[in-house]
Amino acid sequence: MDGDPPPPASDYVGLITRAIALAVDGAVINIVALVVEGAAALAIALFHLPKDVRTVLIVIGGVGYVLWTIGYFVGFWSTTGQTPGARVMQIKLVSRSRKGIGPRRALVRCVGMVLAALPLFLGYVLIVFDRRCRGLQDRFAGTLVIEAEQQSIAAEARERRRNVAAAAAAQGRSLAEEPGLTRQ
Amino acid sequence: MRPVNDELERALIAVMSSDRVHDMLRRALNSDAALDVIDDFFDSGLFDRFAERLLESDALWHLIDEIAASPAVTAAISGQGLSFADQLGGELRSRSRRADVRLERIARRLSGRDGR
Repeated sequence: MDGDPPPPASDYVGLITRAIALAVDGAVINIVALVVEGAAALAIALFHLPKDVRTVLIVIGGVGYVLWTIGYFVGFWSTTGQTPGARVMQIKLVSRSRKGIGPRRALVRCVGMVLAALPLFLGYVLIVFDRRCRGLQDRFAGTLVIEAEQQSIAAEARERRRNVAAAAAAQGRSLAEEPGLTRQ
Repeated sequence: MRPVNDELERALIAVMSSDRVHDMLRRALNSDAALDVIDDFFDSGLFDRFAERLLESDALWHLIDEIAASPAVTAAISGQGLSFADQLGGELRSRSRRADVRLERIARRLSGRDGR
């Protein structure tokens, strides 16, 4: 579309994989929000505040939650292209030219996600019928969700441990090779 | 003294590696008498006493604490947890991909469009 280079045929990600990634992100967002809100509520409970002030604090909490949610998606999309949920499902958000996206486009996609959910999530159902698996939010922001095969977190941890052990062994060897440290 | 020790060592090795001695040992271990010895040992309460004293020993618990907190054990436990998560994630990914393919096939049929 729009003169973009045709991407490889099979690396677009379907609705179910993306829904699972979104569910993981939803869990992360809500767990963090619950912990913060719980801590704030406990702290506020120590003071006997008037009802009006409590209402204002609830509104502030709601705005904070929305900002946190937007910040979460915009932050991850515009830096690594992957939210934690996308990392788990090994998928990635890119622009139509398969490059990373900036904060502005990420923000537009956030708005697109809300718009896609408004008509009974029909905006998301488009993913199933689109040749490039684009939902309304992707059309809106000019983005694609593609496969991003990479090492799992466990494999990365294993490799890190192996590297540390190898470095330690090499250090041990180099110390042993020091003339003053060799056993006579 | 040294030649005597060497002779003794050689004789012991010869005895230990002899097939006859091996047969004798195997017969002795397979006999009812061996089973009786084990029963007698446990019936005597010696083992219970040993276990009791071992569990009362501070050194044992200190050793267990040291082993449990050792980097090798903690790395093994965290590695196990990560491997499980890895396995779970891999399974989830392959299942979701399969489900996507099925869903897409249905959508293609409904919309009468060709494959990607």
